[in-house]
Amino acid sequence: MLDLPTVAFYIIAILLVGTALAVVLSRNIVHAALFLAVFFGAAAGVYVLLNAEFIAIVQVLIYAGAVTILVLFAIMLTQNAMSRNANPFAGQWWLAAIICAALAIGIIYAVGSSKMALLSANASANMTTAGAAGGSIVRLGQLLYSPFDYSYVLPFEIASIVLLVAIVGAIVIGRED
Amino acid sequence: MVATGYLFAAIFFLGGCAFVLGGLAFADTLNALLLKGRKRAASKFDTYESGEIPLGSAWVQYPLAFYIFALLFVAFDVDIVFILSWAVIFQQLGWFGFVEIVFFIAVLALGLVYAWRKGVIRWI
Amino acid sequence: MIFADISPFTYTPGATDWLRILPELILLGTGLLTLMADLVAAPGRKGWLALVGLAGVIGALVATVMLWAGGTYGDAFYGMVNDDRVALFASVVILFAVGVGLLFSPGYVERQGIVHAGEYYTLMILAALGMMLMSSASNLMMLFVGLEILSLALYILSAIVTTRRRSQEAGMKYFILSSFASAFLLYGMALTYGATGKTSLAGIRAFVTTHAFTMGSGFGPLLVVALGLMAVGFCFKVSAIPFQAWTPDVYVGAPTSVTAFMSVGTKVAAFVGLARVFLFALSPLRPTWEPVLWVVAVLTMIGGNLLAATQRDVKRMLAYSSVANAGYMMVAVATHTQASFQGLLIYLATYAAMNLGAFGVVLALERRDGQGTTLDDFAGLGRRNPALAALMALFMFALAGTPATAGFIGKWYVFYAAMRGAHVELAIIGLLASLVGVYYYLRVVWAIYFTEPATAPLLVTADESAPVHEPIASASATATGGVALAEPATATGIAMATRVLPAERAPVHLATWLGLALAGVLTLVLGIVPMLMVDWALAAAQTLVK
Repeated sequence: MLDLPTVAFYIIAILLVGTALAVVLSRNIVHAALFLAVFFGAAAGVYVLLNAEFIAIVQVLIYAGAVTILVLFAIMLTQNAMSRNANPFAGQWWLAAIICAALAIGIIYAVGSSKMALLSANASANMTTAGAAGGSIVRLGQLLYSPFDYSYVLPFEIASIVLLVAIVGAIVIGRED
Repeated sequence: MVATGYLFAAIFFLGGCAFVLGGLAFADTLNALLLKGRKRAASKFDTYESGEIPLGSAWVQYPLAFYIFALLFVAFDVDIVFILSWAVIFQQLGWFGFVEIVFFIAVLALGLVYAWRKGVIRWI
Repeated sequence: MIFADISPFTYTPGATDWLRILPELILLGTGLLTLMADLVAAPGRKGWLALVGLAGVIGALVATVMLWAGGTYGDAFYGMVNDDRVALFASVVILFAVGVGLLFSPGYVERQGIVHAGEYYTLMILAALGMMLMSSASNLMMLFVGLEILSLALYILSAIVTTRRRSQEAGMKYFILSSFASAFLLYGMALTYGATGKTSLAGIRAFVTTHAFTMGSGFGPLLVVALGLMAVGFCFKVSAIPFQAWTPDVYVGAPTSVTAFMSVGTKVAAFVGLARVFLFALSPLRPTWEPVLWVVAVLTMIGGNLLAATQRDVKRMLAYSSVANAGYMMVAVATHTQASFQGLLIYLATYAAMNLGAFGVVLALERRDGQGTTLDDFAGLGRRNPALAALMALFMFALAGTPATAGFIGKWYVFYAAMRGAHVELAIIGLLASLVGVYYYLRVVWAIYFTEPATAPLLVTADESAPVHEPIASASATATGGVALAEPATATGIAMATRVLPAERAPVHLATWLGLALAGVLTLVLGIVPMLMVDWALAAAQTLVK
């Protein structure tokens, strides 16, 4: 029985895997970067399917938006990126493949056999169906700005300092003088 | 369960794509059948028949200053993510939430003032 | 966690919350103030920003001491940070490090011609803020946010000498490798949250204590993976072997004042963070992580000392020596007793005094091109500049662990912790490794007093502390011009040409002397009358917020 979310998931999953492979395999690095943008967008779709709306928004805003721009600028700034074969195969691709596979298997095993992770996954699924009116963004806003069990007021304010340091750093490093 | 709002969003997205692509296809067909002149000339293959003649590739090396813009954009983009999660519930948060976000934005505004005074935000 | 119904609410942190982070707030205010003051300061005249920074550091120090004297401690902001005495002790060490670092800076910034002098001071203070937040964090979120502030600031500081290629390279290396390590740490934290459902250290500890964490219980695997990832991240940040590869290049390439500050500050923050996570939050999992840290400690002690012994550049040798010292500190963590925290804190305090001093002397000798720190440059220093030579000898003896210096006290308490934790073998390995240390530290002393400068004869004995402000630029200009004209411009030729010029050795700035004196006095005081500090460290270890 195929319901709508399942169909959506398979469409997004095919898009996701396809664009991920395209990023790695395309010889032109500009094309690879553009495929990366599509990949980020498709990942946002997966987050929506998982009821993680806030993460989906972050994914679109930060990754599909800002990070893609950053990557493209970085490519455009470098001189030799425009050549046709700017994204060559590394000789150790098989090693990378083995490591990635081992990592994936390890994490899937660890998450799958961890009771607490499964419990909280179920709890959050129940949570969002019960409180669909608010959604995860409201819940996150409450956690960030005001206390229930605990409050993230301080880390939130400190995050602005991190961003400030990043801004100053970008200017110090990037300015030509 | 997927919230149905996202279904609408997806339909609109696909509809938008179809509109643009379909429109292009339609215009092209129309153009080919009815409007196109029969003469073949080199200028017909230009992007703009009567505008500037495009030279070279769009893939050129950009000045470094653009990268600072991009980095600043990322910083303020992250800023927006935080403001968004505040904005959806700001009425519940009361004055304290307001002061919180004002402090947050003020610190980032300091960064903007710094960038501005250092002459980074300037048309090159 | 149940989805709470949305009801209006307001929350205001009380006065206690703010009071408990008062030192951090003062430092934050100072950092923002220097950033804004830089915008109005005249270019080329930014030395007074260091004074502003110092005032802020002293203010934060006073606030820290007041909090210590106040006697009450606990969580603030719903368990995000705390002001237990471990945090306060670490804060004092960090503030001392940043204070001495700021004292070293004005002369050095001027000499190296650092363009972004204003940002330099701001970033230094904000890095210290990040370190203090990290060492006082009682939640993984705070730990990471603090770490990010200090890392970002230090990447920039490492690369801030725009005219020196090695500095740029150091910044780049540090950025790439260290953000990789940050990612490991963050992944570990995320998996810890997945496995326990908590981000607060107390919550994690409570969860780990109540659930049986054997592999078969179904609670274990994820946490074990998380533990491994976090261990990798922390080991990288404290530059423990096998994650030390970035350390020498970054420490040598970065401006020396920054190296002095970061070699101490990062270690304090990262080790206190490591100890809080492993000795407190994950303490019930001890059988899992203890062998890992044991191996890291042994590798770091032996490897760090052996690598340091092969160096001829003193700055690079000190970089490897900081790797070796990370090994001794790791011993304290790996042994896991009540004495561990005490030993760690004592070691951090003593290490701060002697290491800042040693880098300070290197800084005073370093020339504008970043050279002039090899053993050959130290040759004959005893006659050229007796005060500087005596200070360097003191710091070298201290780092070697000679009794009646701070270094001895630090090693003593770390190895004592190893004995108490039934890890005699760690103490023995540490002792043997530090014998190698004696060799390369005392080799510097030997160079200072018992060797003659090979290439530069008596020309350099001209009064070095005389204020030679004006001729520096012209002299170096003629030097480069002269070298360019000379036909066979070999490497040795350049080295000789620069070494003979007296003006190339800039006079030691007054503030640098002050910083060196502070470090020297503390090295002696902690070595001769250590009991006060030992008691404080014990008090700190006992009041760790549970």
